[in-house]
Amino acid sequence: MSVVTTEPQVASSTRRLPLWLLALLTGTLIVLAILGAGMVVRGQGQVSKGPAPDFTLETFDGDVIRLSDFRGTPVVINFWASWCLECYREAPFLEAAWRRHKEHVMFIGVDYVDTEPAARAYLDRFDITYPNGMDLGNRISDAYRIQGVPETFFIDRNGYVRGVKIGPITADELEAWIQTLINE
Amino acid sequence: MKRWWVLMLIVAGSAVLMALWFSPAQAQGPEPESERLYPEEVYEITRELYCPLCAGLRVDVCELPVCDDMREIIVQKLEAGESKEEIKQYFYELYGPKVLGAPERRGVNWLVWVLPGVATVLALAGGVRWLRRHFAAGEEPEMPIIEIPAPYQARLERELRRFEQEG
Repeated sequence: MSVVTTEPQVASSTRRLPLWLLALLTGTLIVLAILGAGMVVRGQGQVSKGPAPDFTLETFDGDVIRLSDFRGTPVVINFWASWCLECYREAPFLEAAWRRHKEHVMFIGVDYVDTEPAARAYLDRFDITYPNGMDLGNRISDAYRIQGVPETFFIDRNGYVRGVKIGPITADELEAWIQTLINE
Repeated sequence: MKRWWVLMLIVAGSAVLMALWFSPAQAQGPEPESERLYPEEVYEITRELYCPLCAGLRVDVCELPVCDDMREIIVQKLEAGESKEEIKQYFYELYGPKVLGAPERRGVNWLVWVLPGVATVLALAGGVRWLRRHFAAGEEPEMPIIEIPAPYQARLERELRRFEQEG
């Protein structure tokens, strides 16, 4: 048996991809898959049903509250910010409703992307007395997938999200939701 | 000749990409000193922080109220003797990784940090290999070596001799 050389063969259309190209394509696909998964989650919108994501919140008074500690009581969670002009419209209704129903319903205010001095000034301005705290690292707003402020979530006494109001809530809407939660 | 056109296109494309890369940096350059409201130390920090509400807008150029408040807080914290890193950490804890303009280096986020580097190295290696193949002047293509069984070898030699004789 002897050895000879031949002219180079014409590239076959079925030959395998080079390793570097394969790795590059794989990496690109992985990145695209991660970005796609993120977009799908964001595209789902706010959490509007199912178990309410649990969280802890350090209030401006220094207390630490946990949502699941209020199991058995309906909870109204309001996301707001001091820079949000729409929030100014609903703040008086929320505080009035809290004072009327605090024996039967818990209110929690979550301050979204704010600064502490401005947030405290907002709370003082509307004399808000229900627990409020800053959403450190946007963990709570990420868990509820809020799209902006104000947004208000209604949690039943079993810890399930019953609905969400996007944008400023009116006094009538708030009262209707509270009655629904109390009467269940 | 055609190959040189391809090379020129690659160079021209790279030049356009580089121009695009550098143009946003010029657009976000520092504002004139006469228009500055804060000391330079404040801008040093705001240039490294991103608005927690906008998409990719730095705090030093953002006009949202929350960024106004962030600048005021930076002034207060600098006056209180806090360092740049402490202030950046404060905003990171308050607003999350978005404010630093980069994903956290943990969990699956590592892919975002590692993959672009790996992809760049692979793309460069592939590009260099492609260029060497297509622009190596005068180089003969590598001949594949094949083994021929003895009976065919004898026949091949016979045929070659006859071809030469018939000329």
